[in-house]
Order: sequence, then structure tokens, then C-alpha cells
Amino acid sequence: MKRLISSMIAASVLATGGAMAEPANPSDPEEFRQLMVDFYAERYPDVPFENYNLGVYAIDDDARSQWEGQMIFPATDEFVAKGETLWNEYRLPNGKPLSSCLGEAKGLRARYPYVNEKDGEVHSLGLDIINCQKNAGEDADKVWDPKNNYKKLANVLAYLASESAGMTNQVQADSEAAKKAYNRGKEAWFRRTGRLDNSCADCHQYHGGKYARAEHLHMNLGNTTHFPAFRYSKGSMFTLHKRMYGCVRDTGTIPPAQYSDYLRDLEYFMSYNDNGLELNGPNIRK
Amino acid sequence: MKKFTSVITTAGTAALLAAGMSFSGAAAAQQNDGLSESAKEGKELAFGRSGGNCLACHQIVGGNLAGNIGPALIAMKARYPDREELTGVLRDPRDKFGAQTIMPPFGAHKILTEDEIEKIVDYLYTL
Ligand code: HEC
Ligand code: HEC
Repeated sequence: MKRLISSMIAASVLATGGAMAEPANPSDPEEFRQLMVDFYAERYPDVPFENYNLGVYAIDDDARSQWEGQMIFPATDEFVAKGETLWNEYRLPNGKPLSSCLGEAKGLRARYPYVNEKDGEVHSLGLDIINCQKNAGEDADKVWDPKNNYKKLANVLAYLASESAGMTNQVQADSEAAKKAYNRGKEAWFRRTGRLDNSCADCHQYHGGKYARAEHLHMNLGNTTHFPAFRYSKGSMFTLHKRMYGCVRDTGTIPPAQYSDYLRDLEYFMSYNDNGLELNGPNIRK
Repeated sequence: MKKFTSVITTAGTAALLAAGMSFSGAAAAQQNDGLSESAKEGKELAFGRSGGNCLACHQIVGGNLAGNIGPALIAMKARYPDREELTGVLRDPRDKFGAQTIMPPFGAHKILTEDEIEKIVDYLYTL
């Protein structure tokens, strides 16, 4: 059954770009999200839904108890503090704070990502920050894009995540543009790319819970709520886009840029699927 | 072999699938007695992260921190008496297992050369 649904989803998505009206591949985001929840629940019937936002710790008790220890005095605090200072002190070239462009910090992260009906694009919080700066005429080398000022971007995102922590993830997908974005992201999730010919779903869905070398693969939900994440194996903060970029690269694919349409569609698909889970960023992962 | 399941969850090493990470030859150096030159090279390719990286997904005797995405590679002669069939799995596993397989098409995508695949097959037949 499990395998049937999963391979049907993949086959129809792959064959038709998601357009085919297969029962196993509804184009309606809410129907498809339910299939994703069912997939997880069938493989791990004992994991309560609210734990899905723990990533691999939801299904790995040993790693989870280690993580619980790490969360007592979390390494993320320092990044949140730096990000808060940046958010409060930074001024756009017009002398105004970022809140003049984006709104207040409290609950801001919880309104992302969203699809703007006019341009049909997925808005990602990181990219909106960057665009606020660019539109205000900020010098190119001072913009907090991943290339020039990655740390500032990651720190501010950590602070903004903390200002929405505890809220419920509820990404909207009512408009036609949003539905299209969701289905583009879905296609990206199941698309096999690169020399290794692997898709996100190969590792994080069909083989979720198994090991790739020593790496325990997390399941198909819980990809987004906890970002940015401090990776203790690397000693640094990872935004969701940096993480996705790395996973695409590891399949032997030249990855699309961070905040490209492709990765934003993927972010939107994964974020919508995480609806109902508590926002728990910034968090800690291996 | 017995150790795999217990070792894996507690390992502190950051072993990513990422290509380019260097591979310590320590594990491969053990138990090489009796292997032909070609099988030895095949073993290195199978264990190394940038060559075959078979350990990412398969348990193989003597390999540390193996994954379990695919089946353990054991008793290969008994299970693949036809060499061409085994070579075919490495060249393009999609032919045997269908388009959905997660195993990379090592030959078709030029991850390994034909010569390297033959060496790995020599090694697999010692398992
Ligand atoms: C070859 C296997 C593989 C593929 C393919 C793959 N990943 Fe990963 N990914 C991993 C491993 C290993 C980890 C670290 C362990 C874990 O959380 O699953 C990881 C971690 C992640 C994380 C961080 C999870 C967390 O809790 O912080 C995200 C997000 C992610 N992957 C997204 C993706 C996306 C999106 C794709 C497709 C573009 C993808 N991955 C493709 C192997 C893979
Ligand atoms: C990304 C994971 C992955 C990698 C890397 C990988 N394999 Fe596989 N392999 C699989 C899976 C999964 C199967 C089982 C077939 C299936 O379900 O698609 C398999 C099947 C096989 C089989 C057939 C086993 C049987 O019982 O019939 C052989 C032989 C094999 N692999 C050898 C290798 C070798 C040799 C390498 C390295 C050069 C390798 N594989 C790399 C995932 C992988």
C-alpha cells in the first residue's frame, strides 16, 4: 500500500509535471498535504503528529536525548542576540529600520512563505529582507545576500524565527497562483536530478528513516519549521536555503541559487506540508 | 556486521554523502588477504566516498558506518551467477529495479568507468 501510493505519486508527478488527475496526485494542496501526513503516519504510527517538526529526532530516540541536552543552553541564543541587535540598529539608506519595509518582528516569520497573487511568486522572508535593502538603494556589498553577508542574514533570520517560535505554521494556498507554486514545488521534490539521479523524495520520503552511511534520514515532513538551524557538526548557522542548496549539490547536480524560483517553490511546498506544526526555530541539528 | 546497528546512532562523525570528502583507507586495509589486484581496487572504489560510495547504502563486510538504504551485499556468486547481470546492475540499476530505484546509474551517468565497474564486480564476487 505504502509503496503503491508512493510510487504512484512519483510516477504521475514525474510523467506529467503534476498535471495528471491521478487520484494519488491531487493538485489541490490540502489533499496532497494529507497524503504526505498519511505517508509519515503509516511508516511511523507511534510518532505523534506534533513531533514531526523535530526532524530526525522524531524517529531517533538516542539522537533525540542528545539534542534535548543541547537545547538546555542552546548554541542558537548567541545568534539570536546578534540578530536582534542587527534588526534594531540597521538602517536602510533612507534612515528607516527594516520594520518600515517588513512590519514588526513579532510574528513576522509566521506569515512566510506566501505567494503574491500579482507576481505569482513565492515570497521567502530572507529574500524579502534582501529586496527591501536593494529597493531602498543599499550598496550592493552591504546587502545581506547569501554571497556578501551571509552571517548577517542568518543571524537576523534566527532572531525573527525566535519572534515567531511557538506559533503554528499555517501557510496559505488559496489563490490559483499559490496552487501553481505548490505544484511546482511538488514537482521539484519528486524530480530526480544529477549524476546520482536522486530526488528529495528518494532520500527523505521513500527511504526516510534509513541510514545513508551514518546519517539517519528524516522523513517527508518537518523540513522547514525549525530554520535557521545551528549545525553542531559544522559549528554554524544554516538557513533553509543554504541547507536545500547543499542537498541538491550532494546529488551531483549544479544547484539553483539560494532564493531562486526553484528553491523558493520547494520551500513553499515543504512549508505548506508542515502546516499545523509548531514553529520551533532557530533550532539545533547535526 | 553485528556492530552496525549499535554504532550508527551514536557516531559523532559528520559523514555526509557529499562527494569530495576524503576517505580514510583504514577500513579497506583490513582483510585484503587473498584479493586479486583488481578486486582490491574494486574494494577501494566501493568503500570510498568519491568513487562508488556503495557503503552509503549497502552494508558490506569490513565496511564501517554503512547505510541500510539497499540490501546488504553478501553471497554475490550465489545470487548473481551471471556476471553480465551483476555488471548490468552497476551500469544502470533502473533496467532491473525500475525507474524508481534510488541506486545511481553508475555507468549510464559516467560516475564510474567501465573498467572501474569491472573491478568492483571482481570484488563483489569475493563477498
Ligand atoms: C542522497 C540523499 C539525499 C537527498 C537526495 C536529499 N537529501 Fe536532504 N538530507 C540528507 C541527509 C543525509 C540529511 C541529514 C539527515 C537528515 O536530517 O535527514 C539531509 C538533511 C536535509 C534537511 C535538514 C533537515 C533538518 O532537520 O534540519 C533538509 C531541509 C533537506 N535535507 C532537504 C532536502 C531537499 C529539499 C532535497 C531535494 C532537493 C534533499 N534534501 C535531497 C540526504 C539527502
Ligand atoms: C543511494 C543508495 C545506493 C547506492 C549509493 C548504491 N546502491 Fe546498490 N542498491 C540500492 C538499493 C535501494 C538497491 C535495491 C534495489 C531497489 O530497491 O531499487 C540496490 C541494489 C543493489 C544490488 C542488487 C542486490 C540484490 O540483492 O539483488 C547490487 C549488486 C548493488 N546494489 C550494488 C551496489 C554497488 C556495488 C554500489 C556502489 C558502486 C551500490 N550498489 C551503490 C541503493 C544504492
